[in-house]
Amino acid sequence: MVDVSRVQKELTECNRDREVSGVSIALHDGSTISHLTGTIAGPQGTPYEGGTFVIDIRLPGGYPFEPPKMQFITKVWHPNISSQNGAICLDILKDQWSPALTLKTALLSLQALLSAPAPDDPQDAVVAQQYLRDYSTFSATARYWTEAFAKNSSTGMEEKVQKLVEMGFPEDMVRSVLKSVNGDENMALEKLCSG
Amino acid sequence: MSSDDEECFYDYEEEEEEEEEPGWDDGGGGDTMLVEEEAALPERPVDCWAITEESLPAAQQQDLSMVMNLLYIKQHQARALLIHHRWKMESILDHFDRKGRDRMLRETGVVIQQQAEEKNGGGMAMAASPSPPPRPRSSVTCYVCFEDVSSDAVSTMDCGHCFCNDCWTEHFFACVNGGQKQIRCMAVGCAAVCDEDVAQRLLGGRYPGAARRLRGALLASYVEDNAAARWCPSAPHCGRAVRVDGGGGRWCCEVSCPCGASFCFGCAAPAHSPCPCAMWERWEAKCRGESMNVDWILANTKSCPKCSKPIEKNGGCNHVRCKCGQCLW
Repeated sequence: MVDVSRVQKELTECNRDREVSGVSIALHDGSTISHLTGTIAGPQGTPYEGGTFVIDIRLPGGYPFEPPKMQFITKVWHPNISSQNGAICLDILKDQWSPALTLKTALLSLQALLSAPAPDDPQDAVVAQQYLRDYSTFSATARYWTEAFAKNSSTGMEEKVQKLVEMGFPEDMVRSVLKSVNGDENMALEKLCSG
Repeated sequence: MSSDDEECFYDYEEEEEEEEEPGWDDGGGGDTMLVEEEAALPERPVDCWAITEESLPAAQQQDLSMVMNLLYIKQHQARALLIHHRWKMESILDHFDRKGRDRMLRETGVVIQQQAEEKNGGGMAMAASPSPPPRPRSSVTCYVCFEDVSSDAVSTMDCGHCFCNDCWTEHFFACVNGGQKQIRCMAVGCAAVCDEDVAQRLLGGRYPGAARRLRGALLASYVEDNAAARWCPSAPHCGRAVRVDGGGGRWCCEVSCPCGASFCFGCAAPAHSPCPCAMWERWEAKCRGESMNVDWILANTKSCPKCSKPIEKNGGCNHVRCKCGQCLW
């Protein structure tokens, strides 16, 4: 039902200039074309600078005549993005969607949302409150969350792998779990203990 | 005291008889109604008549033709304007005087084509779809499916945006399935209302069921988007609506449908005069044997401030939009 031809063209177009635009899209772990994973780079001059944010993209059967469903997988401290589940409050992903928009323009709009929050129209009331009343704390928290969750340096990853391996978990499992939680050591530990 | 009570009761009975009799005599064409007011306020006469399935198209065609002739616009543009003003002709005339034609149309989302084309097509009751203007190239790129298509396989709307017919068809289908009556242009940020004749033609070719639903929704908008009309709440549905003229604002008003159902115009509940709607609603909820259902509804839903329907929110963004067009919290 999804317009496969259009989505393929979108993927090609989006990944062509990923270095310049800072956004990219890929199939989600070899899934079908209706389940994608997008990444956006944190805009410069913002607390999110240097971070890479992973976004889950699901295309409904009526795409592109129905908007794609997007959700942040990377934890992010932002007034219009839920800090709990990554739900996004953005008009073009809801009633203002147009079939002439593409996944690339949607991701670029998310990047713009990171640059210019709209706290009067919040998804996360706690973050919006902090943004309006205590901007410096908001900025520091957003920066910390970017450092903790959105940066994936290999050095940090290797250190985390070593820590978890020293706890007695197999290295292969450690690497795959860390990858699935986007490098969050605590979440990886929880998954390894429960799994 | 006893004598006074009897007198009041007798008067009420007499009034009720008077109310019913003229309705039946008119053969269902019109009904008198009972207006409950405070004792100090004088009673205001209100005209009320039934709209049948047969008279529904003619009734709204009359309004459409009036607006089309007044402003030299096409039928789908007149319909968009009337829906925007909830089929109140006085509101349209008032805005016309205060804001002028072009600004009023722009606010509604109606885009007028070039002056010459408008003059040519304005006078026709059922304006034909304008043929796309000549193009330098024989093929055009549709920016929705990113395919190159020949110029005869594309359609252009009043706003000038052009996409291939396959994408228009899918767009119309998605909008009809989403419950929209006024289908807007596919282009980014364009609020222009699409030509309903083009929508009917393209949908009819591939999705005849959706084309019928669109036609039905456009007809039903005369009742559903009209502040002065209500569907008869009888079950099974008798197919009629009741229209009330005169007396704006909030009043407790009982109307009767020729099929025999009597209901409150404000909330579509059974006639409950002299009880206000809100009190009656609470009383009904209290009396029903569905207290657990009501508890769940009260705990999990909120009512749309415009049409009072309960809405449940699960997941997603904090904004909720009701079908009647009102945006909630």
